[in-house]
Amino acid sequence: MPSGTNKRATGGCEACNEPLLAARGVTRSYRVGGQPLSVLKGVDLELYPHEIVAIVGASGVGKSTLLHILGLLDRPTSGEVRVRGMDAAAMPEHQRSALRNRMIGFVFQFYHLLPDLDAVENVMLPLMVRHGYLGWRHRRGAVRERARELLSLVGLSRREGHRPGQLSGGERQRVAIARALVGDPAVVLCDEPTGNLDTGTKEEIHVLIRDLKERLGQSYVIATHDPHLTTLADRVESMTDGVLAPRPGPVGAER
Amino acid sequence: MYRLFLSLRYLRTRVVSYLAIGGMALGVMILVIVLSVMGGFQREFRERIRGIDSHLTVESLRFYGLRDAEALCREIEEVPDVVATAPYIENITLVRGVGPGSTKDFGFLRGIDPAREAAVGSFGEFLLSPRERERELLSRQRPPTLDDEEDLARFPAAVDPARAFEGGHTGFPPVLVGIEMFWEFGLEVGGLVRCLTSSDVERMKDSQEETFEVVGVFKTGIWDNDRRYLYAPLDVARRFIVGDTSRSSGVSVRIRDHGRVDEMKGRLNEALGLGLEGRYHLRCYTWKDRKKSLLQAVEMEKWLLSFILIFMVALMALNVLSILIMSVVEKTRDLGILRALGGTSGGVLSIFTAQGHFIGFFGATIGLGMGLAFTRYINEIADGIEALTGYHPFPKKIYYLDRIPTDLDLGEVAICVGVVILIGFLFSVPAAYKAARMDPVDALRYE
Repeated sequence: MPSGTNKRATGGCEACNEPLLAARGVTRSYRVGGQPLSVLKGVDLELYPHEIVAIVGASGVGKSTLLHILGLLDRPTSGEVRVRGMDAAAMPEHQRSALRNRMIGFVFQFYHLLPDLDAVENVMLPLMVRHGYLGWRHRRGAVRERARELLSLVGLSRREGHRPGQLSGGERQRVAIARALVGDPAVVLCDEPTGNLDTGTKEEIHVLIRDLKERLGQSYVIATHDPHLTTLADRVESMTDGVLAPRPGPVGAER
Repeated sequence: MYRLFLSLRYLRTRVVSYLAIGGMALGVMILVIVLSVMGGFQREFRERIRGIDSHLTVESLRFYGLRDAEALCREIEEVPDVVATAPYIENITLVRGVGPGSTKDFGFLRGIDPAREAAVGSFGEFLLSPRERERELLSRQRPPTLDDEEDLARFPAAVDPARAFEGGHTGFPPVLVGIEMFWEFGLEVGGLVRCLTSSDVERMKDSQEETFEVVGVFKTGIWDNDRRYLYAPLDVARRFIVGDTSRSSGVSVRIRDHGRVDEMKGRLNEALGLGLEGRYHLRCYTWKDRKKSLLQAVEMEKWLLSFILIFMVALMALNVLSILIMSVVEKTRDLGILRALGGTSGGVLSIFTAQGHFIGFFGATIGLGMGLAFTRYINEIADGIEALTGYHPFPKKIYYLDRIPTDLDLGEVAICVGVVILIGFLFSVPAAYKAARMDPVDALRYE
């Protein structure tokens, strides 16, 4: 299964050799105005623990669609998606939702925070979704504490009570990153995480993702057309015309 | 957990949800007020109708009535739970005021023994004392003032029903006239009315005529009775209607518990053998039988009103629906986000149904509280309105009642509140369904 190049340098344990996420022959087509439109035409991708894969390509090429499929938000037209070896395509919707909640964190270009909640509440949200009414009461304090920790990890400990509307773009994205991490997922899927930010802020997010990966150990898939962000990646895959092709990363390969 | 949290948060942070709850509460409040005032009117009206007549009557279907009413009275009084009886005679008459410009109309002349009549029904309460009569007549011309009250003080405030027919001056037989006839005919106490009646269909031409002196006025509160009825002493009426003093139309009966009137009717039928051999011409009627049309009108009114209230409930339902659909549209992106965080479509759905529940529940509870408070203080509120605007929303003249009657049927209120909560639930489903069917990917795609 896993080829040698895909292995992490620090790997060797059995779990590390099993891909967290694996897409095989994934296609996705839509019908637009009665015409079938093929966005993905047979994508293969494996993601191993503790690695960052960057997916580059022009906008509209299908990067977001691939992330949605990897994140179990969307189902492929054909092909399979496995999460820790389990066939996610065969699962009923509620199981996919539960798996998504535990395994996957999302970071979006437009942050996608809930405007009615303050920063801490936004960060707590994945755990609120995870726990039912009964479990919530005695977990509430711990969850809030965890959310605070993550906010301070992303450097926002002073803005806990602020609503998204009171935060800058960079700050919002930090909250979104904290939210993606709070449930302790195995994989964080970032869809153009810096696409909406100015250069300085881009750099901050860049550094933040690198640090968080080192500290918390998640794997990342980052769809981006920001060349600078690809320097973080262990592997860079280039998407053109609905298929992925490996591109040697200038820095990442060394790590 | 997020479902409850978010539905409450969405509810709390949106002005429209307060408006929805407010609208719901207002609707429930109006429902409660209308139902309770309507119930009060109905109760008041039924009581008044019941009060006009005795609880039961045993009537003769024969043209000349029954011969020995006293014997029948004794027989009826032996039935357990019968409190009092009173014979009466009644016939249709033409009535004409004596004097210039006086009108004529048909009416019913009823012969009674005043003391016994007062014992079987509310005759004594309907009789107006001279002071009440003058006040009533005055108030039909202009609102009475304090000076008027001083004026009125010279009229006696009390009247003895047993002596209701006394005090005539002209030597003509006495008669009591309903307030509406008195007013419309322009009659006065001591004035004369002429009555014409016939007791034989075969010889209609041979009618009897009699002149009566008006000695008093009564007011039952039912327009028809106050417009049509004249009361004369039993024997006077007997002589006038059939020519001798042996006949009666029937016997009025008062029983111990008016709630058991139907049961007592059966008991009388059985004890007296009414409608059977020898008694085939006698029938027993309850007050409900005799006032069926009026009671039906009251029932109909309430039914119709409930029907109209359904539209109000529909209005509230649309209110919930439109607000929740707005909320779903506004929250489309949030829903996509929640799905991305692992929320199921069912969970997303319940955020909105829960909002509907809260709107329904809070709306109904607040509305119920306001409605109960309003109903409790409705007369104070009416007085307040009069003090502010000079216009009383509940004119006594029209309703014949001093206070706005209220009567809250808890069952009705429970149904009403239940329906509203149910509406909150049911009408949130389409909106929630719309939310749940949405593709999260579409919701997330754009800013």
